[in-house]
Amino acid sequence: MTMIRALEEHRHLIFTLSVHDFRSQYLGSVLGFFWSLIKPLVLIGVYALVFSWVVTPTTSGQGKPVNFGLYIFAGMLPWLAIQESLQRGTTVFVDQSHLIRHHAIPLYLIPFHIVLSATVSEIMALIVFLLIKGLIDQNITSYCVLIMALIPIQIIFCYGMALMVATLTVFLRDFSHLTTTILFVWFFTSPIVFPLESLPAYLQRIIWFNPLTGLIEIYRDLLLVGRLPAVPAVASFLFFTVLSMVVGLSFYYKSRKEIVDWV
Amino acid sequence: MLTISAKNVSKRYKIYPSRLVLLRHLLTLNGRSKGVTEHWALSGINLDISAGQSIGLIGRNASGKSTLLRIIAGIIHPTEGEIRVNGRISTVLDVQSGLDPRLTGRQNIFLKGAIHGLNRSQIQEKRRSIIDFSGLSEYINYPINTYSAGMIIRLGFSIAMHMEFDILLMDEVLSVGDVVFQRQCLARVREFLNQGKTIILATHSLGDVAAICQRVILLKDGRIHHDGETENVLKTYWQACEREQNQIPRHLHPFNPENVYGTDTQEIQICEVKFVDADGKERDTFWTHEPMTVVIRFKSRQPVKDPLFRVQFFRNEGLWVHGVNTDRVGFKAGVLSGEGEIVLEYERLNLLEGEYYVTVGIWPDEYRSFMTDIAYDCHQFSYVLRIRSKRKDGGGIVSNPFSWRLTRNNGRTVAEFARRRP
Repeated sequence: MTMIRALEEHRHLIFTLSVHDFRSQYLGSVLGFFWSLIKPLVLIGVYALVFSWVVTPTTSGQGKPVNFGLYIFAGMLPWLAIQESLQRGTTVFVDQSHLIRHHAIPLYLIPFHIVLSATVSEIMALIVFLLIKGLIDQNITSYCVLIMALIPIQIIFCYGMALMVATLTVFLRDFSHLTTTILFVWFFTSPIVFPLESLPAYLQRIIWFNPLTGLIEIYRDLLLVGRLPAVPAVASFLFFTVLSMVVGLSFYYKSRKEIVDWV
Repeated sequence: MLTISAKNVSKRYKIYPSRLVLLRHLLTLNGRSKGVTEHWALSGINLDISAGQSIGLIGRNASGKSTLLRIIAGIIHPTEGEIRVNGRISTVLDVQSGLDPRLTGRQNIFLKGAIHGLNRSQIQEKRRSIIDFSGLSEYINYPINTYSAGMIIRLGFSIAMHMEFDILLMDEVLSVGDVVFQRQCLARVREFLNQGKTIILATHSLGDVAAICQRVILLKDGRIHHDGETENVLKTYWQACEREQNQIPRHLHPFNPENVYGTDTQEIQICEVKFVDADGKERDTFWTHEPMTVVIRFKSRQPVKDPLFRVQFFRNEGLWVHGVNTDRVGFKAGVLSGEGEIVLEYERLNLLEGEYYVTVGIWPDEYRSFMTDIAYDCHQFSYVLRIRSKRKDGGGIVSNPFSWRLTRNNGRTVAEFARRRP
């Protein structure tokens, strides 16, 4: 509750930080924020090319063939936000040390703008996704709108984890490198570049321990297939969102009074 | 009404010998860990500050001034104790003053405004006068990392002063700006005081403190050493600083006093040293050109033949200004036993204004004393002599009797100044 009040009270700060952050990333470049679109598009292009050799093109579950590029793109959308939130989240307290060491602002607000800025990048990519999909199969269902309901939950999910890694990195900078490594492994153990159905049966069960499985399934159901997501996927993702918040906040609350001494 | 109230506030920093120890500490999480040392930056601070007061916070480096300010500002949390603050706070806490070096001056104004909870249009209103006060004009659109320290502090100060606040905290920042800006700031600070705002200024500039503050808190090693009216506390602080200055770093001394202290043989001991004026009164302050007498009382434990008495004057930088001994003038003391007194008389002192540290020693003889450093007894830099002079006596450390005379080509004297003998 206090947290929501603090968000309300400091909304100008979070907004300003997000804008500055988004701007400063592309400061001094000609193409500016288009880079936030070019990078993922190239990435998706490469993955689509490479993995369509490795993995047999999939079906959407109803026997309707799906463009493999779009399939990867749909899975990449949430990944973009999560990866950026975590990667940049690790150093956020250290990067904003000038703020932290001079102002009595609630520190848990600081990683929030990174998550927001990452989510804005994702939404840009989402718009591009919808444009491409509209061009390819002229089939954008109204279920796409539901993504807007999903994104706030995803923000909370990212925020919990970002808060955790940000706190840990304050004390030991190793966590920044560790996070990079874990993200790399996480990417290839999530059903982003391969379909869930292509896995052996036992792996299909284990993979649900991966918090991203549910989220990516929801994205694909909403964006590609155009149907309501399955209940287990939603339940799984909600569970991991709560878990992420609980873990992130408990790390933060344990050490919040010492963070300023270490940045 | 109390604006700030601190009860027994202490701040401890844990110092980990390595990050590995820290990791172990984090993993065990029970707070018990080997090899961790503690540093108390503040201990047992009790403080009540009522609204409208202007407080100066003084103390040597690392005495806890900045830590106390940050605790009042709510940035650092005290390890023990409780702090209550009523009112909105605006801060200028160091030379960077919390500006983001990557952003331009203008963007920083918006960022700072946002921190204080202002929205864009509210900041827009203040922007003009912030930029005007800072005097940065077109530089406001350059990133902060292209600014000089003076420019940064101008902007930081200007922003802090334009926010809505009840309490203004400043940490050793005025001195970075140029004189014009300092005056501008002081004028502004006085204005705030008239509006009933509370101001806390941590600084080494006693002039600033005297100009603004009604109350001064002197911190020493993280404790409040003195808390009271400006005049009283400043006097105490100044005296403490002087006393510390008197302790000259030993390596600066030409005779290696370490050795001297260790090997004094104590066959004769110096009992008392007095500086006496013409009327026979003991003093520690003399005027240039005044007569002065040094009285040394001694006591020998066994008969000593022809000891050498030496008196030396040093400046606090360790410069040896003047020294005499009995041997050089062929003054033989003979065999000394029991108590006695030797008197060194100066008809007039030719030292100029300043503090002089006096070494008094009794030595076996001149050459041995230089080679071996073995004295009977030596009081190294133990006495402080204050000399005051008039402007016309000249500058530097010695006063030589002098006169001025101006002549024309024809040899006629046109103007003359002759120093009258006192």
